[in-house]
Amino acid sequence: MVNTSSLLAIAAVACFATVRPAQAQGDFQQRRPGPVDAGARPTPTLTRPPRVITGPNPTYPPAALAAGLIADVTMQVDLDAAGQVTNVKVTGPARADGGVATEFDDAAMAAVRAMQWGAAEIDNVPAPIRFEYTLRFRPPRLVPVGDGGGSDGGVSDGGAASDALTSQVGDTAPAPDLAPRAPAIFPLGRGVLRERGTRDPLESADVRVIRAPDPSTPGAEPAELTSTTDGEGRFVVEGAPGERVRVVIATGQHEPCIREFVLPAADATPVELTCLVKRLAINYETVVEAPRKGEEVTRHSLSQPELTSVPGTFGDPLRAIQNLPGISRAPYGLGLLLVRGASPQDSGVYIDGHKVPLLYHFAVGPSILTPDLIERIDFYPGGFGVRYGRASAGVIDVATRTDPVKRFHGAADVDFLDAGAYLEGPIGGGYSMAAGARRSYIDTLLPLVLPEGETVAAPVYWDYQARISRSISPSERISVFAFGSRDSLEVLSSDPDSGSLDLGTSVMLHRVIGTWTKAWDGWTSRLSPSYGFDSVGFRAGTVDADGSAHVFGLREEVTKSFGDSFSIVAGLDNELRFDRVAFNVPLPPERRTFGRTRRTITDISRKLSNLGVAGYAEVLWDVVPRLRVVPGIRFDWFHYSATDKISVDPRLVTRLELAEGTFMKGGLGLFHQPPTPQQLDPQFGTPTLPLITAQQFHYGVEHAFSPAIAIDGTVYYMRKLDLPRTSGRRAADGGVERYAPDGRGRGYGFEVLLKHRPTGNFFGWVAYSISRTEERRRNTRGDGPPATPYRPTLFDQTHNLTALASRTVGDWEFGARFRLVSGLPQTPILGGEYDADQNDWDPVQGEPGSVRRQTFHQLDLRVEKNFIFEAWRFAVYLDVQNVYNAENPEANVNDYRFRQTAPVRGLPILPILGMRGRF
Amino acid sequence: MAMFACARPLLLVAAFGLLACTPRFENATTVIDLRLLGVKAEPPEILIDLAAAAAAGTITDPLPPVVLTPLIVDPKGAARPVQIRVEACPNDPDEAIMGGMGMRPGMVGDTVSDRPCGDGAVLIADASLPAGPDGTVPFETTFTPTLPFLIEAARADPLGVELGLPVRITFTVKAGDETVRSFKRILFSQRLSPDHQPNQNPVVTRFFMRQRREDPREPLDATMPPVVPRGTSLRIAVAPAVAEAYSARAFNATERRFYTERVPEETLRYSFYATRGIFAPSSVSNDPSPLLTNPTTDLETTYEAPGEALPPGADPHVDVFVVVRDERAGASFTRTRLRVE
Repeated sequence: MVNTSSLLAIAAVACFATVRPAQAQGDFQQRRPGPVDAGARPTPTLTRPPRVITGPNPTYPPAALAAGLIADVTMQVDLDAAGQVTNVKVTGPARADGGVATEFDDAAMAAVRAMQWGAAEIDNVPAPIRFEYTLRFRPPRLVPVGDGGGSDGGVSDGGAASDALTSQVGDTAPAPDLAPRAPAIFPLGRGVLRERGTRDPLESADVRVIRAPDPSTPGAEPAELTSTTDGEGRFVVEGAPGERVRVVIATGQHEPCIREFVLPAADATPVELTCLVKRLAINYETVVEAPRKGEEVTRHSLSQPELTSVPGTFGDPLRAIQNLPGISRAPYGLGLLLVRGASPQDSGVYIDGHKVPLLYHFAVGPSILTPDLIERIDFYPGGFGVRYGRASAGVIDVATRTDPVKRFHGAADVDFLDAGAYLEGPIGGGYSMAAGARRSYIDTLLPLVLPEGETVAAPVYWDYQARISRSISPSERISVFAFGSRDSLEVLSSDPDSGSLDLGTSVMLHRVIGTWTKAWDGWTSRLSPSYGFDSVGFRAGTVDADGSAHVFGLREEVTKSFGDSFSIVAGLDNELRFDRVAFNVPLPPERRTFGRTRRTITDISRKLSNLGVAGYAEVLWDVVPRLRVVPGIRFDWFHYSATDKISVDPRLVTRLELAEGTFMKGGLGLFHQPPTPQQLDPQFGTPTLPLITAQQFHYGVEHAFSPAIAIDGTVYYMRKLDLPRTSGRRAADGGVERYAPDGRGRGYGFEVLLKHRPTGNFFGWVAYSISRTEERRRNTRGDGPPATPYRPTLFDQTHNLTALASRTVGDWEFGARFRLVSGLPQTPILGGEYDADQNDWDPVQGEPGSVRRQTFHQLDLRVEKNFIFEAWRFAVYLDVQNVYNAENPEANVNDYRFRQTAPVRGLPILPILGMRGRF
Repeated sequence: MAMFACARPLLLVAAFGLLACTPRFENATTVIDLRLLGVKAEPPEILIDLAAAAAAGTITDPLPPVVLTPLIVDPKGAARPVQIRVEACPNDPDEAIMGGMGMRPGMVGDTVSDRPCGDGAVLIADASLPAGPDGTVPFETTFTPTLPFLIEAARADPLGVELGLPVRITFTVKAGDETVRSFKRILFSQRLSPDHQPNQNPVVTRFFMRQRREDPREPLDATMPPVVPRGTSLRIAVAPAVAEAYSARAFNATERRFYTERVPEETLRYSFYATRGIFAPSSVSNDPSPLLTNPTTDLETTYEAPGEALPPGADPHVDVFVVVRDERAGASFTRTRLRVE
């Protein structure tokens, strides 16, 4: 058997399907057929359901894993009053191909027996209980919704759910095996179980038909007949004609449906039941994040509901990641990806494995993907695996949902900034579709509140997403995902003394990503081609700049396990870009002038074919059962701006399990990133610039205090070499050299994440990082500009603390986030000097980066109220940023001669009211 | 006093970054204390015959003296002594390269220092004298470059011989507890042809005025200052100075070579200052912003008279200074007067 921690991935979704009373008895009233209330006599109440204290930690059957098989194992679990497992049996056989179902069953039962449980309570007294519990086994790349990252997970701890479970419970003796009465049983009732608010059919709900005791037999106990709902939520009620029955249908995640009635005659029309049950606030279905694959030292993953309930993010999943350790705070809440003090261009952003140029709309706008499509976000603050490249800082990979859907669902979101809609559902032939769109309307609202004649600079954005997917078999899936976005900004003003300003700028991208995933004979393959079109545009007066690119991507990754302790991953990561750039921009003259000079509108056109070809491989080797070593290597060939560059990036990660739930990890590696196209341009750059090299070293410890609470700490050190810096010296050919690779960088720090995973009605985390990111200039050739000491980078933030929590109480959800962050580095201004030729005052600057802006602190609150109707749900939320209106200066402005300074405040209190509907 | 004057809805301002809260700083066009508004160098450019120098092994042309005249204004100094120290030093290309984030491409313009002289500068003058009755300090000095100085300047600035060698002149002006540091450049360029003429300082000769844009312009006579009622405005225009055509060495980045570029018309900019009131815009130019779709180039600005009344017996006259600059360190200044009542 393969140890859990050594697997590529296991997704185990544990769910209590039905909490079954140990012994049931009824107090029936003689009524006509049809729904009736529960008995008039007070009934014992399940005041606290059983809860998981430790586990599950299942072992994926290696043969099944190698074959890419999946399974759901549903078990009947008996706990005694002390919470000890007294009996486990499989009630829902493992649905697996290949004759390995028994292995799944054994693995699941072993996992449940090894779990530590908290006893259930009936009427606030610990009591034996029987319930159903499902473990789902999923190999990597075929994981449906809910598969997260990380090695541990949690199961909800009960709580409020018990308030809604009011089925009768008798004494606390162990439940007897069910023994349905034999004679004269007819299907005299039928019905369907659906979820209130979504009308989703509820499958595998436990249907108990409790038959009245025989009045002729004193002391006779009621008996049960049990069945489960089918895939459409349908069930049948069997019994004898004229018999009084109580039907209790429960999923464990919803309020139970309880009906009492008298069965009709055998030849009469069966009783029809429709149960719409409300999902409990508590989330019994708990995400158990996938065990780490081990190819990186630090990965932070977010999954529902962390993606949409973080205060201060307006429910935007991709903004939630800005609260993780390793991500620096961006000024004004801008959607900049600042990883460990590095510039945004040093990090890579991927969607389904393909790089995209942007993740957020303009300014404080939302991300370009609708939250409904996002399954998981992985953030690697550094030391990422060999499947990623062309970046020297961090990586964000957004995984979108690919699981087929069985029914149509839709959503609509409206808030102060924009409105969006989303629809998904089956379209026949095994295909599923999903589509969404969003558009901002601030450009319409803003003129209503701005003074007349004011310059209008209204951001306009829209985005769309569409997906078609098909699950060919449990081990084979295909999908095509298309998405795009456009941002534009229009500025209009007219001044008769100077002229009219008509400024427009836009950014647009489109992507189509195909994915074919298949598992066979121990191999898994993921082939993903993509095509994209990017464009940027700017115009103002006689100036305009347009750029566009056709982007082709091709990724292929195969994995193969050899035995229990050795796996290989190999892949290709190719990108071909055809860029076209056309600028009509005013450039300073390439001659020495000593006063403001007429800038020539220069026509610059470029057609570039940029090719990046990469191959990578890594080995996941369990040297001993508790030690995993992951050596990997990546080869990159860059053909950028007509220059060719090659890099080889060896990387190594080790992971040692010190004790149950405690891991020590370490890693080191090389990372290469090409200079920007402009820096390699023959006219405005230096084509001979080498690749930027980063050397990264990581060491960390993880510890799980419980299935829900874990801590992850990492120390790191990073060096950067060959950063392009302004030269302005005579080049070897006698001309003017634009850049020289004289920049050096380094970063070091400690990051810690104490996290309470979403369990039941609570989640939250505390993220803290202390770090230093610096750069310096070297005078490598002796004749260049002088060397400088290390100085903090523009986005260096020494301390960064984020604490957030969200709790659900009934239909209400409350959240809070508090941030405390060091101010950004600042260069002191000591005064001003007057350039009499330019008529400009230049600041007299002190030591660059030697002082910092004021410490940033901000509290955000979020309140959401849910309304659940029969067929749809509605939520209203209020997300308030900067509740106590902290000033948080983000910049300074000075008078013309730098004698006076005034701070420019950050975002003031910003309440956003939004509404969201789902069906 | 730095105060915020935010009347706009802060929420919208912050959320979309559309409007800025502008602190109420002093206006640069109002001269309220010790200021240096411009420096005239005569001549502003000196041509060197490099071919002859190469043949002779030294510069054969005599290096002419350069007369430096700063426009120093001390309107409220009450004739207090003003100390003026003038120094010269070579261009230091590293100072410009090291500025900023060090991320921009090194252009030719980035090799010109934008700082005053540091230690080791050559002293030209050190004087102390009071401001005259009109508030200006009547100071003038002469800088005579020497051959060793030029050789040192060429060594410090490797691109200077090819592209033009700027020499920095620093002015340190002190009065009371006020200090102003300023600098300008004198350009030493290679003679590109026998008929190559050095740069000439632009000169403003006349002013015009009108109340509204629709009105015809009238000459503004400094001897008979026009009256501008308090709180009102007056549109003031300048007669265009001569914008020269010239040739200069430039770098062709595509072909990676230096060449002689012919500039058909230099850019002239006119800056306005007043001892009371403000000008908007503060400068006008014959080079309109390329970002505007229908720019105006009528060299006209608007003087906005202060609204507050003067104390009894105060002089109602307002001194107006106009400094015109070209793009090769040429400059001159002109003065006129208004009467605000």
